[in-house]
Amino acid sequence: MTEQNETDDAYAERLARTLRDGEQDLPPDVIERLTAARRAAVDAADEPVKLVWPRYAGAGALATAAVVVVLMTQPEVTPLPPLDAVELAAAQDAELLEDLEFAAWMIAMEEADEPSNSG
Amino acid sequence: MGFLKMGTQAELNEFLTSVEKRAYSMAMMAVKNQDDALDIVQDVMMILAKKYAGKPAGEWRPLFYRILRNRITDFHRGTSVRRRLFGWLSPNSEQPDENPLEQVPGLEHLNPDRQVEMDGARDKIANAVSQLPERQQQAFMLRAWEGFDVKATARAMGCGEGSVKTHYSRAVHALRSALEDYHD
Repeated sequence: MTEQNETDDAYAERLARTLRDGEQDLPPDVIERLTAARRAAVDAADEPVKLVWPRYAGAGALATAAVVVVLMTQPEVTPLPPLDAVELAAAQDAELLEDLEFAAWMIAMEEADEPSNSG
Repeated sequence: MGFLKMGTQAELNEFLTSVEKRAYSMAMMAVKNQDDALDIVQDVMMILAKKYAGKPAGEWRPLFYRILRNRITDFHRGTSVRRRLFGWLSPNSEQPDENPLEQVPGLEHLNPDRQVEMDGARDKIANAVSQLPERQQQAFMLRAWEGFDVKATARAMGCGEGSVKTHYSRAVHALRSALEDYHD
């Protein structure tokens, strides 16, 4: 098969196969550090997750109550028309964006946790 | 008494063993520095273990690569901010004469015998992949290297499936151009 008529997927797979083979050639010090990192992670997984929510439970309950009151006092609104395809796609993107924001938040939390965990 | 079941710990250990070398290689290509790449992989393992170890094991792989992508992006943002903040202090620090190909991962990983044996093919590919724009690099790594389908790649990259197809296609075409002399 020549490079010209080889499909993108087949070509990419050929490159990827070569890269996968290379994973076995990592130097010993890198393998050692990866092993240590893995063990530390597995040990960390065994620690119970600290619950921080009780600190904010009171404020959360108040905020929820306020929202409920506001919603109950709002005049009845007419139902929205069904979403068309474009709006649905936008909603899916928004969901993805939300996921991303959550992931970013989670990482920020993780980094913020580091000093307190080490202390 | 541990928090996780012993079985889960063993599964997590097995899972991390299965991804650690690839994750390091990917991080290395993205950040071009061994210590930074190791730090990133260590962070990703720790975050997965602490936040998601309780999730079904089948969900770990896409989550792992998603966290990896975020950490690499954070790294690039941090580097970019540092460069903007401190770059003006030392205008010659960019070292424009430096050959970026010399910093690309791969070369320092291989012992001399193995390097000769592989005839540099792997290094050429690694160099070419590391030169791709970040999103194309991610699409290629996840689709081709890790073997994710379009949907899983989209989840890991935090974008739509159409974007994945575009980035992947551009990546493969860029690699074809960069690796013109790479034949079987």
